[in-house]
Amino acid sequence: MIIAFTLLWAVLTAPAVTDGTSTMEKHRQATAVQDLTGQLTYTNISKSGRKQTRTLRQHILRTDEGEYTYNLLLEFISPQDVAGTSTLTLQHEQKDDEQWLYLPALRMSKRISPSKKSDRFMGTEITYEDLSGYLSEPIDDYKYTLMVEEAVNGRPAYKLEALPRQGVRTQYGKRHLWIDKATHLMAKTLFYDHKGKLLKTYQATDIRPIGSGGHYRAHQIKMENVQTGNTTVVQYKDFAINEGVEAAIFSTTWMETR
Amino acid sequence: MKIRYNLLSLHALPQKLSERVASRRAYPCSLQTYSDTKPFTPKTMHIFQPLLRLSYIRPKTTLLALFAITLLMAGGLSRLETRNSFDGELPTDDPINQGIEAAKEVFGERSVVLIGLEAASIYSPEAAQKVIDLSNALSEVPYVMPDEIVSLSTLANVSQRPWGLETGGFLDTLPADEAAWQQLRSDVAGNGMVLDRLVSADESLTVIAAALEDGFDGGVVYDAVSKLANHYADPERIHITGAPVLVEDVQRGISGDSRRFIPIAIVLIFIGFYISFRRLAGVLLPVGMVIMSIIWTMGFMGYAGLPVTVVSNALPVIMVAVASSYAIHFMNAYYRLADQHGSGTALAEATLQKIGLPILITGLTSALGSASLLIFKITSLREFGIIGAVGFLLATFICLTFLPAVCALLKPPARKAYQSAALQRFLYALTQMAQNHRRAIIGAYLLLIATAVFFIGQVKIGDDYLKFFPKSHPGRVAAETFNDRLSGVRNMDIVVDAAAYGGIKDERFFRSLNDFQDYLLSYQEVGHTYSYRDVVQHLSANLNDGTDALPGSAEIAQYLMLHEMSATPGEVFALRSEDDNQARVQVFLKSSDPEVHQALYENIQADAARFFPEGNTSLTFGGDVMHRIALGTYIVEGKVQNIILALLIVFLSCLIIFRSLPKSLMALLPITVSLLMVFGLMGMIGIRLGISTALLTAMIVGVGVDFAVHYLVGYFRDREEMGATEAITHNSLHTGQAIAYDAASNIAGFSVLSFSGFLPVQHFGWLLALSMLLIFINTLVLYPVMLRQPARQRTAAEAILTPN
Repeated sequence: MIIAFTLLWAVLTAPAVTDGTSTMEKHRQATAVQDLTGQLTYTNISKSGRKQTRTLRQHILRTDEGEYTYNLLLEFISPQDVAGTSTLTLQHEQKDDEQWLYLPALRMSKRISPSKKSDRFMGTEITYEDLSGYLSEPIDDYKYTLMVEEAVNGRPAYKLEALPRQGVRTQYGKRHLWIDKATHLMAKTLFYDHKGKLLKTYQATDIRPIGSGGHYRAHQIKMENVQTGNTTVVQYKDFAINEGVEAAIFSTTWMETR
Repeated sequence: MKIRYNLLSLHALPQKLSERVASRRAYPCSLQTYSDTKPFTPKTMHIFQPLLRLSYIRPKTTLLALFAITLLMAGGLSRLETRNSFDGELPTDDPINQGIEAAKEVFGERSVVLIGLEAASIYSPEAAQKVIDLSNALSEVPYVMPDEIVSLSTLANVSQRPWGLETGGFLDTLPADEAAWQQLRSDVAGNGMVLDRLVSADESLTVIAAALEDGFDGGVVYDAVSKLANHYADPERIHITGAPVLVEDVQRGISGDSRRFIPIAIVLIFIGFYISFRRLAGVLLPVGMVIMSIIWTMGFMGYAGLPVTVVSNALPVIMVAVASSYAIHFMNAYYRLADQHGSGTALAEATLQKIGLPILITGLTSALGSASLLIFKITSLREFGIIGAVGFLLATFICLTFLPAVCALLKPPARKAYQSAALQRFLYALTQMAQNHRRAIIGAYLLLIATAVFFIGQVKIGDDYLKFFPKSHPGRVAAETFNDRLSGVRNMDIVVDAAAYGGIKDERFFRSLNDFQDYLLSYQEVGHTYSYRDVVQHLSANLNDGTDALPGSAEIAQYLMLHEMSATPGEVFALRSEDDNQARVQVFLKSSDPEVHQALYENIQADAARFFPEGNTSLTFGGDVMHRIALGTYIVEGKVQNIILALLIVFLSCLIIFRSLPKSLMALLPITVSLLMVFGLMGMIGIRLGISTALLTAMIVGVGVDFAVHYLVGYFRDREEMGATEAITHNSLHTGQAIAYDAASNIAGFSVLSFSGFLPVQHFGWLLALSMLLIFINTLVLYPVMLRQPARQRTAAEAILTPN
């Protein structure tokens, strides 16, 4: 009896068994959304300290094509002379993504070639590969190893190593990830190039709940390219998650006629 | 105060010498038997201070102390730093420098290394793959900014396609079939920012450009880039160039040739010493003195934090010339007095008495002459002024302590002083010719001076780095290939200020800038211009089905936004300021001639108001050619001031020494005439006045004043004992002999440098040799002409040359 109670106590008090993949699965669930809107202001800071700040509104809607494929509409709202400039990305599960550009001065949309993983997102230090991880980490492409528990900005986090599986094309030879224990959001990432040299660092701060659906988001992220010295800081506000986004806005017609 | 005391003491020298006149006249005067057997009296001892007396009274202690100081100064050698960069060469308050700094502040002006890949066609898988590989490899080169590498494989491009816009890089992937290669060709041909700038029209050359961080080490970059070039060469040809590479090529060329030729020159100079004195000690003692002088001076540079630059690199040569001049006069006097003294100490003391003061005076005047370089506003020339002044003082000190100390320990030479009969005959003939043909010589000199003055007006200013190299030099071949097939390797940046936040997006400003760039392209030497105008025009053409209509303000803003979305921050901020109130126009130049750059700069300044008439648009100039333009301006301004100041210093020094206005003016004569002749010759045969040739003045003044002072001191001393004609001849034969030894050995040594394949070393070498010859001839011809008193008889002079 005593043994039975002892075993039961041991089971109940043991830390939850976790491994790299399950941690990342929780992370993917924490970031997955049906739809999302919000405003973001990004500042590109060059190595010499020169800054360029742009504000845009983002609309994201999960498509019917796959669990982790989205439509994205990004619309500049500041500075004034570029307000209305928009890009529309339609992700596809089985074929190349489609991208469109709308320039108010031309009053027409132009189809543009789809961005590659390594392309910089809006000229920032964030690449399209980073962005896809932001929406849904492609956990099948990586082997995750849980390393230690380590606090980031005072918040407990799991530190993992992510190594690309054979055949996966990526800009990174490896990544070190810190997953916030409480929210399962990415708190910090170190990106290494294929030669093992540190390439970029990512830090997420100001993690707060969004609405009442149990979602959390970092309201400030910072991506620093340590090899070039350039940095991008992104401030988010007015997040709305799973509150409904009209599918019709993800079209060239909408961009041209709104 | 000690120096002042010594200098003033010279005034008393003729009086002291006059005491010996009576006995002097009793000496037999002949070429074979004449010697300077002037008894030195205790009265003259006070001229030399106890420190100098110590050298022969306590020679071992003196040598030990000198050895200890040499060890101490050698410690400074390890602290020596090299400065290859031209940054900081200009004064901070200079308007051009302020412009360069202002452009740098906003646009982060960078030095750019250019790698050219030359192939039968760059549109082949092998060549294209090398462009990709070289671009990747360059990002690993120290000081290269990885996001500021521009090549076909890194540059984003927007090209119109039937389905929309292609927004990738030119070589994101290698074209897979002939259609894809044709598409690449067509994309390049349709992009005015790439054709002729990155890819030659004949498809045989493409460029990979890499911007370097501020404060880069040129040597490290050069080595790494050369290694890449060697690795990727064959069958393609890889060229490396760009301002940092050219500067390093120049530096290495000068240093390499200097390392090869200067030791040979020094050996030849000392062989000349041996031929002059015919004694080993006559070579070894000057060698020891010169080596010590160089160690002390370079040690001082190390301790004082004065770096080795392209200018101070010449220090060993200059020290050899100047310091050996002190030594040769000392040794000449030493051997002349040798048969008059029974002990080494007495001989050393007598030598010091005879020649110490002229050496001290020439050391001080040479140091002051070098200090006159401080009038230049170019940092490396100012630094050299300090180094030279200290070096010459140290050499004087070493000469007046080391040589007497060693001589005091040696037994006086048994043999008589060697006199070359041929040299004596030559000196005699020269002196007689000068005295007998005064009018013809003065006429010839006036003609020569007038010709020189005429050609001085034609001296070209500034260094054309490309012409420094022989035609086959890889650096020159690379630069000429880029100039011929692409837009050129030199660049001028023009920052145009729209004077309002976001002003560069204004369509009126854009139109003005568009016209301004078209105007710049009308110059033959301008290969290409690049600014945000080109980005906007390219996007406008591709988004509007090839239109060449100028866009409106909203379109400009949105096209720039589009550019931001695809370009790196480095690319964006290279074209526009943070507040979009300033635009940078890069002007690529096919010429490396600094005078062409200067003329272009002046024309643009004069014409700018045509394009930006509002009056509130200012132009600021930057880029590597502006450094050279400013350097050229300062070289000219500084050179004139430097010559005037150097002559003034020599004049004032001589005024203190001789206490006579005519004598002091006379001291300037051979220096001034030699300066005019050398610069006139430079103008006549097209040798440029650049940083290195600017040093010739220091050499001419430094050595010229030695010859003049030695000659005049010798003459006035002899004059106390004999008539003018006799004194001239006597002095020309004896002081003239030392001057001849000095000039001949230096001419032989420095002539070797003219075999260098590197033009600055070549010019420096033979101009230096020629300067020595001119100073020698001008001293030995002009002084007899000026000093001769026609009424006097020449019997005494003739008596000197009459055998017993």
